[in-house]
Amino acid sequence: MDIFWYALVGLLLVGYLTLEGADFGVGMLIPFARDEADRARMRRLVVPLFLANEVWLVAFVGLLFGALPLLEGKLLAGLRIPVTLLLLAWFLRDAALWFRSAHPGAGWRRAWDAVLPVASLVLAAGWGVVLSVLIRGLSIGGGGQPTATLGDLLHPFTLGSAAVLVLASLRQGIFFTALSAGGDNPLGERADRLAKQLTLALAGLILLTAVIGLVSCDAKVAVAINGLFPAIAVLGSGRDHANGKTVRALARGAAPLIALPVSVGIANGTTALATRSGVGELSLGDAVAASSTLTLLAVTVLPALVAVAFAQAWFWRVFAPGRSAGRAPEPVAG
Amino acid sequence: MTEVDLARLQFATTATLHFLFVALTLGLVTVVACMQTRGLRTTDPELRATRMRRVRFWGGLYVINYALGIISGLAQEFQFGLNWSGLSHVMGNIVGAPMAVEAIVAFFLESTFLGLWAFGFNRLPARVHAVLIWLVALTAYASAFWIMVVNGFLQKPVGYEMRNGAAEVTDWFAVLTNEATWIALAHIAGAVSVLAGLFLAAVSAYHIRRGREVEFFRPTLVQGSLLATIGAFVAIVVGFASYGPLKDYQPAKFGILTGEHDEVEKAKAAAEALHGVGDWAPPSWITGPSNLMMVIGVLVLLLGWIPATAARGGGKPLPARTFRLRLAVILLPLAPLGLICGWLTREVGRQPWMVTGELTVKQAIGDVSWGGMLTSYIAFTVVLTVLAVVDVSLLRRYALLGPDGGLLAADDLFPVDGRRPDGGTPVAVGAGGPGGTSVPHTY
Repeated sequence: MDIFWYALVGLLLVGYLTLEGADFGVGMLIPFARDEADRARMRRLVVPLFLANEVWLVAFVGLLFGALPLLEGKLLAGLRIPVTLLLLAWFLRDAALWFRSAHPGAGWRRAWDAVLPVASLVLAAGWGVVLSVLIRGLSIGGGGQPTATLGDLLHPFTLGSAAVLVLASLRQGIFFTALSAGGDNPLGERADRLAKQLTLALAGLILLTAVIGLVSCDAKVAVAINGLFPAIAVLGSGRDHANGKTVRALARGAAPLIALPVSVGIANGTTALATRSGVGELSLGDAVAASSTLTLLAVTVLPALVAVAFAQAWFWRVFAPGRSAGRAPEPVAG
Repeated sequence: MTEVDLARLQFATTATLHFLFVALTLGLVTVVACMQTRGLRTTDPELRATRMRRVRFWGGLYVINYALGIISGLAQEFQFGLNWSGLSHVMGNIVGAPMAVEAIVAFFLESTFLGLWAFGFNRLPARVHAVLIWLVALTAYASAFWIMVVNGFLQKPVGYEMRNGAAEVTDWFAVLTNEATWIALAHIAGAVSVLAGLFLAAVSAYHIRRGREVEFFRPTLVQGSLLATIGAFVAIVVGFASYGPLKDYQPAKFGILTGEHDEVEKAKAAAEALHGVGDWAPPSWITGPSNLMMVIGVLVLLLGWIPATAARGGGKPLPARTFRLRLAVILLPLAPLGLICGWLTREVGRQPWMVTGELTVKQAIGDVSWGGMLTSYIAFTVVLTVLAVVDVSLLRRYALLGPDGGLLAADDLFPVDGRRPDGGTPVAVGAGGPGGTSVPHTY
């Protein structure tokens, strides 16, 4: 049962990164839009969706606290610096999406148009940092607790993984914009050229990061999986995009965003929180909550998650790109 | 100032923000849901259009307010792990699960429903759309319940056993039916009604006094004033009823709040016998916020309903009844002030404990350096304060702009293909995207 909860928590994180990757990408692409009308259109692509996407992360942290309380405490405390930065970027990204159009001033809009790409970039890079640090294993801090030191955060494997997530998100953003815009792409003709260049750059960067990882990490299998599958999928999604199959390109293009959290699970196995020296590690058996707690979670959270699944599917049916407003409503009597 | 003080200050800052925004969310959501239901029930198209216009206006304000509720809520959720890992270490088995349910029911389910509602005005059938706002209300109150389960446990731990230094639940029924949870929940239901009621009345009175949209705002002036008064009545009655149980589970807090010094001394002696020498009583200054809260409650009870009377009877036209209309605006700041006083009384009154009698605040703190704590405190406070100021000024701006400036009437935040729902011209600058097909008027 421990594995079930661990996997469910991981699934929520995978869902978050898969869905939000495109939002980060569109956010980073705002400066590339041709004019004000196109910027407004690009923002509108993510505005109905980001709220439903980002709550996957809230659910992830919530369930982490509920099912694996010790892991939550040690993980967030050990990754204090990157998690704090991620949170601040998250607040500002949300504010940029919520508030930007709420005031007509030009300076106001320019300010939020600057905040949105920077915050989206920090979010994409930050997740690369946090997850790759966990694949390499944490250091031991002054208090004997697992900690991500500055050396861990700036390690070449960490930086490479951060760059991979940034490029992968950017590419997802381009596909997503193309999908939603139909014939008139707010990024103009540059979009296809940019996507092609990014495909090769991203595949190369993924392999380079994997080589660095194989040299510097103990978890060779996880690093190899994290390199091989996404590289193949990215090249495949590049072909899909060239063939006009944008939805498929988006699905396969999410591989780098999915592979990273999955590799954390493969690298650590039943060690919920791993350190390079093996000191101060937290095993899954110790991290998981008591059985009485898991029982309550099973009867409350699992039905709620089923309801969420339906609600999210409904949400996507209504707001998936390409669905114009006014198609669904049924005429009301009166 | 120690790391513990900084961590407490950080939590207090985000909690204050979160509590105020969420309180308005909780109060307003039921009001908007009732408005939309009434709008749906009439068959008169003109009446329905007027009522739906009200839903769009107040719903727009509700959504602006929700933005900061969710952002400050994220700060709260992550702080438990970032700063208070001692809590998950000792009490994780008990406080973790309700928090997980809260995250999944509140954020996950509520936000998905809210997204569908806020962006679905012209995309969903009217009945389905009205059901959605009720689902948002239901999940919002469910989340309030689960978070108060955690809070109730901190005040009065029940249904658990300590095993190897960590608490395990032995009786979930006892945890979920904790009186410290339910009494507080009822008290808060009253308090959020005061806030939402005074907000409705103040915004309505502001416009009526200037002779703008008088008929549009007349019902909400009455409803708001009455809601605030009823809310104050409930909050006061439940508040006084909470003293009895409090004497059993937090005698020191009870003694300080009621001024019974021998109770305090007795509680201190009992705590020292159990936990050793130390200061086991909360600071005595909590009587200040406690008394202020009570004064505010009584003031709202005595004065809150008066603006409603302006809408009745003959004589002077409604906009000329300036005294009663001004009163509605003057009363509004009392509600947030009372809410802050309320949580100060409850949570500072819990000190020095994180979980009464089991875990002190000092023990619950994580292994964080002083510099690290200060840095994160400043960073979180600066960002959240800036965003809160932005949000409140937007709330004020749209409240004062009136129903034609509401966010749910614009197309940028809530895209309806470059058109306003009534088929009018776009409100937001530069929002006239392509694909501007005329949108069928659903309501």
